Amino acid sequence: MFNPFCILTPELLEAFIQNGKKYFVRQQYGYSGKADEGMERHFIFTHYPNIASAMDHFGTIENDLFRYVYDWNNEAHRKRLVIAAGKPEGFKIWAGVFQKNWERLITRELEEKIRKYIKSMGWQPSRNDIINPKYYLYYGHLYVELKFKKKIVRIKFEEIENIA
Amino acid sequence: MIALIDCNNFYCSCERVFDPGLKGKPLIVLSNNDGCAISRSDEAKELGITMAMPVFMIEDLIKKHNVQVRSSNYTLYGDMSERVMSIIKSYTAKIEVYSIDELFVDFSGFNHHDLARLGSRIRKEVSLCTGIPVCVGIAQTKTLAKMANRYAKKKSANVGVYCANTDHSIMQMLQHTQVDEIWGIGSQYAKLLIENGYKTASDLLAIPEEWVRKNMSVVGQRLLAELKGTSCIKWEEAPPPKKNICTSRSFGQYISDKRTIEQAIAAHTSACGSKLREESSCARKIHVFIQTNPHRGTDKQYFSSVTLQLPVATNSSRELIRYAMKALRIIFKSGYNYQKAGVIVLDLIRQNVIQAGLFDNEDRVKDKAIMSSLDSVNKVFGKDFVRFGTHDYGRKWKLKAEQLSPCYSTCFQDIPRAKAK
Repeated sequence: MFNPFCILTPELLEAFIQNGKKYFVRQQYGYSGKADEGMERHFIFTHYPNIASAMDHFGTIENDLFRYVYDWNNEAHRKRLVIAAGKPEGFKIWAGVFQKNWERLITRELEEKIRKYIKSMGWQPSRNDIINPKYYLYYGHLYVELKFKKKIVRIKFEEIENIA
Repeated sequence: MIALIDCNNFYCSCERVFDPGLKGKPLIVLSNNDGCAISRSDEAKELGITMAMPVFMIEDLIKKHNVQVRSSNYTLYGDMSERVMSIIKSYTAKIEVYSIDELFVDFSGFNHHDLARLGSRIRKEVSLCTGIPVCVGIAQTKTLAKMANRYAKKKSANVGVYCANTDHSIMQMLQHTQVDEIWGIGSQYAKLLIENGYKTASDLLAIPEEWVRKNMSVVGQRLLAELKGTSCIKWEEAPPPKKNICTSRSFGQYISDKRTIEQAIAAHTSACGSKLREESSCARKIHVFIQTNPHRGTDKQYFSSVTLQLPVATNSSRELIRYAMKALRIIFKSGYNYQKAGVIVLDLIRQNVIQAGLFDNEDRVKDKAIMSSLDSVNKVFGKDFVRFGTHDYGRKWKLKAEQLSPCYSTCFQDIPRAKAK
């Protein structure tokens, strides 16, 4: 699974708080990499500046048994957030932030899949046309936006990854 | 002097006019697709129902307090709004309709009148003729008039009129208005002002102009001048011509088949065409989009849009629908649960300055005659009485409106009946 996100660290958590992002939505994150064998659970924590946005996100993941909203102003939540940022054993906690040089993680195989997807849309870019996929996190899912001339498509990136 | 006349809890008040049983009960009117509360009666506000609160979050509250719920009925509200506006227009011709439920009135020719009494008279007449309660705020500028209206609602709800025409009355109002309640001050500016010790509107009068220019740009300067009684917001008797027109709706249920989406797109395009002709404008581009519901995390997600350049600017629904269908063929992908579709007509120009195409083979004279007939028939018999074949009746994609009240004032079948004994 393509995962360009950072591990949640105490420094990152501190930066979120300093920037007024005091609400965090926890959800399961489907990830299985060779280097991480033995890791029990993967979660992604998405940061928000207000409870309303966090609850919006929370409402979209009702099938996730492990979903949770943390409020930094709540003493008990704060303790758990600090533990989560301390790389707890048996867990891998991702933050909703792209890691440095994440573009290097896009393999040739993935590039080929993106090309296949573009072809399936009936777009016919010429040799000089450049389509720059734009990646973003939305409600805990990685999305990609593709633009070609006056056409725009936004989909979950996993749909491209699943192309055979 | 300028007055701001604003209808109280407008959508709820409209519902109460024709259903007096709702008076005194908590009542909310919901947004499209019965999603959120967009108008609340005072009783509903007291229960803690806030603006734009999603219904699913207040279901228990609705049951517990027997809150009356209505779907939004824009035909009724539009008609009631016109009635209110026409009564006010009979006092003075110089008005600016600001939204469906509020308007500015220029009282500059009323120097020798008691404006507070005039405001009360207007208020009474609107209430008597339409049943809609209004509040009137009168002051020297638009910003102060808006503030006076708010002050009238909060501090003298029974009187419903506040005339800020003396230094004392202006200062009293400014002292009771927090900075975040001032028209034109958003959350960022409010935060900045509070951080710098300016809490009420009266505090703002003491701000050095240089500080305002530096921290709040020309917008802040204009606002400060308005608060000091110098009118800076221009009067717009007619709304400026539109730059684009959008018609989009969420479907009442999830749609996967192309044919139904075609019908929705055709209906939206036809509505855009009709609005264009009303404005005497033509579009040079058309933008069509479809999307799934991003709030359904488990669903496959897809958003797609495309903009097509039209060879010749047009306001013919027939031609616009043809291009919209072409656009839909480009963006539609099967296998998704679509939640919303929309059409935007862009790059609008006046219909009398169209650049004709050299290779254009549309019969535009005939088209114009057809559209004109279509608009005339629909004006008399109701929206979409005559419609395009692709348009259908929208049974599957129509908005969810389970608590819709009748169109009491615009539909013969819905006119209320009274029994006399």
